[in-house]
Amino acid sequence: MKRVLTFITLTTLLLSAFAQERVRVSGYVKDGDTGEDLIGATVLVRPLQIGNVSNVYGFYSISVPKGEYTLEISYVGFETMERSVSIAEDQVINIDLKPEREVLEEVVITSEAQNKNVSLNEMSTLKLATQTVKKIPAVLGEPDIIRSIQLLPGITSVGDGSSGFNVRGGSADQNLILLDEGVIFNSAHLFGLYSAINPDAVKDVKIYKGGIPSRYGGRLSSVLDVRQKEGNLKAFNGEGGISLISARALYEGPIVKDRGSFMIAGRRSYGDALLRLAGSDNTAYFYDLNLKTNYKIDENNRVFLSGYFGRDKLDLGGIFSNGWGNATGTLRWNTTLNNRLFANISAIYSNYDYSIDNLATGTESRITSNVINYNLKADLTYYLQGENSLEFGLDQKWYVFKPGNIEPIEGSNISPVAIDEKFAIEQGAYLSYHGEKGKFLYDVGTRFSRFVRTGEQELPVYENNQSVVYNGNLDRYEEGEVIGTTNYRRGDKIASYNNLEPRVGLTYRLSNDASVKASYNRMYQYLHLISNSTAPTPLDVWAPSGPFIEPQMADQYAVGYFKNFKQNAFEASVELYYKDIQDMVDYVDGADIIANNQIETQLLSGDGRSYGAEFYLKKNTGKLTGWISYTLSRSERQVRGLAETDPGINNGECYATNFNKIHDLSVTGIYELNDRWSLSGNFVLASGLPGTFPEGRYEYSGLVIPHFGERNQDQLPTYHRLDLSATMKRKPKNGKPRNSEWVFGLYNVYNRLNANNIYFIENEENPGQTQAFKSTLFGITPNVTYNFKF
Amino acid sequence: MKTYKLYISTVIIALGLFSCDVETTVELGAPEQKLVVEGRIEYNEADPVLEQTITLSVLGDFFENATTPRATGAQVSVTDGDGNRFDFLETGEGVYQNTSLVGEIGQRYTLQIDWNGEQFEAIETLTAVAPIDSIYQVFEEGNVFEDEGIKIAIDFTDPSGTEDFYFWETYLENELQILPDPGNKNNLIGSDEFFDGNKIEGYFPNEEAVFAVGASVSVKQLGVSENAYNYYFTLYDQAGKIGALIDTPPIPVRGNIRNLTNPDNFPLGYFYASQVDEKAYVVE
Repeated sequence: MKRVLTFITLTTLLLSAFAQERVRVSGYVKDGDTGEDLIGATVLVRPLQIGNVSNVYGFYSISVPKGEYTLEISYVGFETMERSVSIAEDQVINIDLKPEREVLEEVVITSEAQNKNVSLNEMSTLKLATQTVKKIPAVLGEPDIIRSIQLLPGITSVGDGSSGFNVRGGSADQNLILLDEGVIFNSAHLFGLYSAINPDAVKDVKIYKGGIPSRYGGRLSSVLDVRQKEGNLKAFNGEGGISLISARALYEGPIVKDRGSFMIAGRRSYGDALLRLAGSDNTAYFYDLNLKTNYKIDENNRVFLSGYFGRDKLDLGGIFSNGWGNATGTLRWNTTLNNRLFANISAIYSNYDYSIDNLATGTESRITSNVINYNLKADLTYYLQGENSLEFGLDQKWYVFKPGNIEPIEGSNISPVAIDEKFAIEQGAYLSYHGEKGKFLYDVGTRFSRFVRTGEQELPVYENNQSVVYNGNLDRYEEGEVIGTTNYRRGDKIASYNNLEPRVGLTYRLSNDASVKASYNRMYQYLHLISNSTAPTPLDVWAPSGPFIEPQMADQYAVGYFKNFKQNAFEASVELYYKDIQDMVDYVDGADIIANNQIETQLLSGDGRSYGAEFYLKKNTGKLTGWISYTLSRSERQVRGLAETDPGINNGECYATNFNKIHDLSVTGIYELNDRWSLSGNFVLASGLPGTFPEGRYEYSGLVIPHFGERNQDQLPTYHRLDLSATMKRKPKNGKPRNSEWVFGLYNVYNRLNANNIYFIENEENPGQTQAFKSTLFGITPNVTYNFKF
Repeated sequence: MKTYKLYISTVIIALGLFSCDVETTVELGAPEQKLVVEGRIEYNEADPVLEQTITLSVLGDFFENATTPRATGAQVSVTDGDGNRFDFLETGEGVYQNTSLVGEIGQRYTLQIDWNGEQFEAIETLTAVAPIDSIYQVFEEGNVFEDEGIKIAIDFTDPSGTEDFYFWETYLENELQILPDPGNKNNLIGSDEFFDGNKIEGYFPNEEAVFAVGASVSVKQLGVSENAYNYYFTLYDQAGKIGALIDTPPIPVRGNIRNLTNPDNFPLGYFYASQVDEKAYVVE
């Protein structure tokens, strides 16, 4: 912490030297009704036509020569505000924007759409409004951020009801999911049926698929940055909803008016209550809690405390129970050291854990597992002249991995076993310059990352230093021979990695409504999710890089053309990307990864590549809004052998990843029929995912067993689905609008039985007979949700 | 480690409310000519094994629901570490037997097969096993995973300080009881990783099987090599798919037999050598 402060002070002094005779206007942009900070509001100084976009805390800062100006402040969904100002010295101007009001009788488009997608130096980045998420038809009426983003270009999943998502051909563990800066290690509730984030509590969702800014690091493929609502600074407010699967509620309000506020939100599924009513002694439920408070100490200092706690619980007939969940806590201090230096200093805690109680007779046991992460970081923005700025910061994380403890319960004869705890430190430092020169905008920066595995741990020493060996006689990979152990004491360095991660983003504005952009980013990832199932499960183990597992690295190149039409009513883009991944882990055939203390003996490392073209057309205004997204892409992996003589996986040739989706089209539309009714629908059409089909069957040990060849050489049938929903606002009572609505939905309208998977088995009732089954999830599913405000 | 099985079943239940599996067909190519070997050398101290049997068959078409073709006319022999060679004679279609080989703990056996112009070989060392201490019946109430009924349980004591791998077979009136169940890999085989040196009581060597009063049941406890254990683990895993996204991906199951003539066309199956302890029980 001391080092961080010294760093800040030094840079501040250094940067102050550059300050010139100009004056500066800075402040916060807020929602006038609730006092929430507005992220990404545009502040334009006329007639200079220079501007700034408010950062994630609503802060903006612009340097101008002394003079008389008009500030124009705009934000989607808010009335654009103009304000004449005379600036003779540095000045703080906080702005409260008024939300647009929908006028009865007809829906009037009050604000002009913005051209930010064209004009900002930002590509491969998508934002989704919580309001939109709530209007997209959802399974069982439960609005879901992670399912919704899969309707956007370049984002897919390995199947309905799978946890996690895949960005531009990257695996699910390559996404950094941040909730108020805290890392969410598992984004799923109920094994992937729902995502772990309650949309009510969310203010802003942004996903970076490429051109990832220097301030983010640690995962290869994407950053999903979720910001929670801060809480209404002006009045107490509540909202809630009841769907077929869960009930949720949110309450927010001022602690001290205009100075401090809180937000608390909770959600719980009640499927278990229904199960119990049905006389079953099994339960399955999830809940999550979101909390945020903030307090403004003075004009320049603000503190935030936010937390998230999510949990899933399963209990089966008293013989098995399983729980897992994420918890995060963030304490944050925002400060403007002078009106051109904005600093955000955070202390973050994050924990993912699961436990399993097995109560089957004879082997009663409990398994527990944790990943704990403490994080201290400082992010600073220094606003230079004009539209130029400098971003820099430091980041330090301490990790504790407790992959698994097995202990006997109820006096069983299971011996307690603890898989080795692992410790690591991840450090980051970055510097990035944002510059604008006429029509040309650039962000050039680099991140330096360092990862240190530390003791205490006893590590095996393998013969020839090989944790996996190839048995040429039987053509298969086997565990390396352990010839000794090395003891590392607490704090001893086991392995360390230092890497530079350059990031570059360029934009050339062709006109007011068209631009070309390009970006490059290099990313390193030091954590690996070890999973040998098609989709990640809550029981998968995160393993840090170390002596036997190299860090993963990705280089991504992207270019794009961005064009808006009809006063920005339509925005369109085409992006091409190429991503090259090195040292990603893959498991060997027949890998045993459950409670394995030497996981490195089951892994080979390989390379991946993915490339594609993404087309996106979005309509922002009017009665009909929505988007069409089409992605043409390929995602491959290549795992060569340990040496020339061994074949690797699939004979060392490139093969499709589990999430290789060649064509992926989705159309989402929301139609405001009148002031009471809105209709929405989405249609998805995509190539089938890769599959592995048998070459034949054979009899062994009383069973009939399918024989498979190489991985992912076949393809599942084409996927398509249509969902519809209608939202009805309740009738005004005595001329006053009532803040409640009904949402009626129909998921998978024409009941297409899409194959999540095709599997080949021997019929249990009719041994000797082998069959292929297509497993599908969610046929036609109706839903009703009631949302209300109080 | 029954946990994984329980976990799988849990997911089926959790997702089962919304999922539906339908039978389907897919286009598959004709299977290649691939040898399948089911070879076992067994040694039972109390009840000597009179016939050692090697069964040979060939990979069949997946959707052709008939017995897979047998591999006939092969030359089959087993040679022990002292150079004694035992020829196996074809006593039935694809069934090769020898009556003079008496297994020996720690002895290294080499299986040689000459079939269809290709030569195959496998090597395995006969692994010892602890005896079954007792066998008895237990009435188990049904639960979400298993039927209600009388099950057969055993007690045994794992030798301390050694890595031991177990394989169990349950017979009803001399017929092997086995179902293609995802739990097999956590039930029909075992590793003492989590119970080294402990006495295990009330172990169900086949959790799926329930028996009627009067049924004549016997349980074989076999010691297998770690390699064989891994083989069975993968085999049962591949035979017990449930169609959920947590299934492990389909892969070929490689045993310990290799094709000397054409290494790329590797044979399937396993050749194991085990000490066996067998206990019989009549359900009351």
